[in-house]
Amino acid sequence: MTRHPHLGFGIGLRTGHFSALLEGGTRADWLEAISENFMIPGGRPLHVLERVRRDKMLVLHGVSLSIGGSDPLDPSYLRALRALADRFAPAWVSDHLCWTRHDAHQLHDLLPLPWTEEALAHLVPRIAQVQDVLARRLVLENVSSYLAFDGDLTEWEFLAELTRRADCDVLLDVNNVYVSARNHGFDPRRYVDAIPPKRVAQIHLAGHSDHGTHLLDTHDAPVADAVWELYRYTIERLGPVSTLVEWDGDVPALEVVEAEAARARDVAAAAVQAAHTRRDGVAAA
Amino acid sequence: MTALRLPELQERLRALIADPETLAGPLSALEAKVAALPIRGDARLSSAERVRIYAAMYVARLRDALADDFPALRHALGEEAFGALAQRYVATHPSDRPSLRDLGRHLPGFLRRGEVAAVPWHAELAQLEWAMVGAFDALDQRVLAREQLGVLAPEAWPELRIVPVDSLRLLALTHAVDAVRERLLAGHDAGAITATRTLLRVWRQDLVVYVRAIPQLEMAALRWLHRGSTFADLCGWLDSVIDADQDATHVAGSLLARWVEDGLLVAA
Repeated sequence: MTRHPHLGFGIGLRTGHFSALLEGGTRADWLEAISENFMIPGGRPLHVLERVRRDKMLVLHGVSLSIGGSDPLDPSYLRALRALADRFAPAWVSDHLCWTRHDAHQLHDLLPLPWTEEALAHLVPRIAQVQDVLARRLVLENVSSYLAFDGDLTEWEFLAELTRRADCDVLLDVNNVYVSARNHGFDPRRYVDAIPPKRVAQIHLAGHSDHGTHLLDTHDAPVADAVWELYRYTIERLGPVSTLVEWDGDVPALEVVEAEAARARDVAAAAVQAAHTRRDGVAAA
Repeated sequence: MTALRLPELQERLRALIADPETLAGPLSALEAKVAALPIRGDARLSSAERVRIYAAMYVARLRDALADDFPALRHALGEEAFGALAQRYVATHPSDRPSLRDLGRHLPGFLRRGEVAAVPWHAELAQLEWAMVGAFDALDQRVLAREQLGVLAPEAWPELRIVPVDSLRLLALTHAVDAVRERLLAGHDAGAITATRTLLRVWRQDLVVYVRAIPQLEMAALRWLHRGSTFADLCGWLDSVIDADQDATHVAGSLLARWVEDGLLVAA
């Protein structure tokens, strides 16, 4: 079981839904805001964030920390993130297990790391630095990847070991596990099995696109059936975990994204029930 | 085992992702470059093809971010030309900030300097759209309200501070790109565009960004205002620039009323 509070079933806060959120709020239990989109002086985005935070719990989710990058961590970015966290009191602050910048060039992409001892040794003090600035444990998300390097470990071995050495937590993106599994030819259940349950703060679900030779993590479609199945498996193993649906491209009406979150609620409830039934059966036997 | 150290591995991959040749050049040339990297390929996708996926996403993501901030310029140029512009622009001005919000800040100057083929009003249209981006998320401030002026004692008027809001942007242009922008975003062609002096103020009021053409005197007055200026200062300055038969206090009052109506001044 996770040691984190169960926030329920949330959706990503997106510009296209601002008006609907201001007018009618949301049926989703909680919201996740992209940190960088709110590192601004003022205006409508911050107004909307203030408004939704009055009624709903919030998580801050970054895309530019570049925790795995070779450039030093950006102190002004960390200060801005801390200020945002102090202002909006999120349940937790997350970013990605990746690198996004090199030699001051921001690529604005979530680039994979080699799963090596060198990378582990590189990450641990950087995570400590971030956790010191934020005064909270960092939550790191596994990314979808389209290439993999030669390495010492599998990605799941690396992530599990990183949580132990750096005392950080995990945002397990089930769609990303599935996409990477297809792109690199591994069993996604092995990945899920390897992650320490107590470290998992949150789960992401999203849609992807199939390009024949590979899957792309496009966030522009409903969650695929195979990902729902992997989500069910994940919840059976982990127990209830705060879950959020991301939708970033061709963003549909708020109700459509809310419906995906509601489906996650149903799938998770069935998975928890199935896990209880199986445990009860084992106990009775 | 990865032979390259992490910084060198990241530098080489960064260079490949950002290099237009990674997508435009022959795959064989890319394969030669990628062979030195410890990237795994398989029967479905070679290591070079996997690098190309990232290169394609890099270009698309930055182009989309620029399209969000410069929608009218995109309409004016068309998809293909806008895409080519975006590629040339990010090659010259790669992103160096955590947020894509800042990516377009050099684009008006890039167009003005003629680094790509563009007609003169394209740079001004980009300048207007970038001003609107800046106004959109400028600092929130409490603005001076008409009711506050209504209860101001006569002896307090000279010392009334007149400070514009942070969202205010002033543009002195040679084409009426405000009208061009509206036409383009309504789905029409830009139409015939002739050179005409155009003075614009861009600002945000109640979370909405506005663009308004203003006369020369108002433009000059807004440019003259500086932090700490008072109503008396404004009257004194106006007295030095307007015709002798005009009353500076009356003109200042008119300007002030307009600015307060538009939420253009910060409350003291």
